[in-house]
Amino acid sequence: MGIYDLQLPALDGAVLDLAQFSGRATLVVNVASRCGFTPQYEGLQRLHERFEPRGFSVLGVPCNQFGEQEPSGPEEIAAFCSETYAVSFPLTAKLDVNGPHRHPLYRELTSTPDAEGRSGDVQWNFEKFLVSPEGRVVGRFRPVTEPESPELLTAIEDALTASE
Amino acid sequence: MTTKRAVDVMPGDCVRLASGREMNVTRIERDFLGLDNLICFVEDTQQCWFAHAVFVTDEVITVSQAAPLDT
Repeated sequence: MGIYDLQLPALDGAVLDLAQFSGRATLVVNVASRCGFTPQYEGLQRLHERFEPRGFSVLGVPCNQFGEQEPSGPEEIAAFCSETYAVSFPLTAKLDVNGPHRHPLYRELTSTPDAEGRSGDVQWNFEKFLVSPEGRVVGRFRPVTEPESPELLTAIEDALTASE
Repeated sequence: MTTKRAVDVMPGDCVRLASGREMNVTRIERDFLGLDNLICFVEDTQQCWFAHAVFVTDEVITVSQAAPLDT
């Protein structure tokens, strides 16, 4: 089973079928509202707007496993993202990305190494995984990598160009 | 219950966070996120996975401490 065969709970309680991302490059990011990296929402939203016409989407995955920095319920998370950062990309319900209750999506993602060859647990909030239009994980970027950093922009361009 | 500097916390210690949550530290990642003044406590068990980052100089409440190593 590939990544785009999975279904996730959306933040609004609906089913989020990842098949809708098939044929698009997708940046999957575990997010939190009270983290030092939370301002990265701005760059993520700009990425989403810039590349969406070419077949790209950001997918946010709220997670409370890092410093309890995503403690709120879905309505509060949605309001925070909308009102503070004008987020328009989809968000899942809160999920575990590490540990015994790790969501199957993250079982796939975390088997991918970063640029230094390290796979395994998500390090902290705002770790980024780039999934190709074919559903392959083609890049992993740690939280300190800004959304609009040269390496991430290059990886997105490469993923989109390969499918155009 | 006592306090100690974060840098002195050891795997096996149980620490209490400001929220009241208690975590059993099973692993400690130093130089966390590339910062030499930041460390991350990780609780990684069959029941739970949780991480908490602190500055090395922070005071941390310890509910129980790891048994000392035999010498």
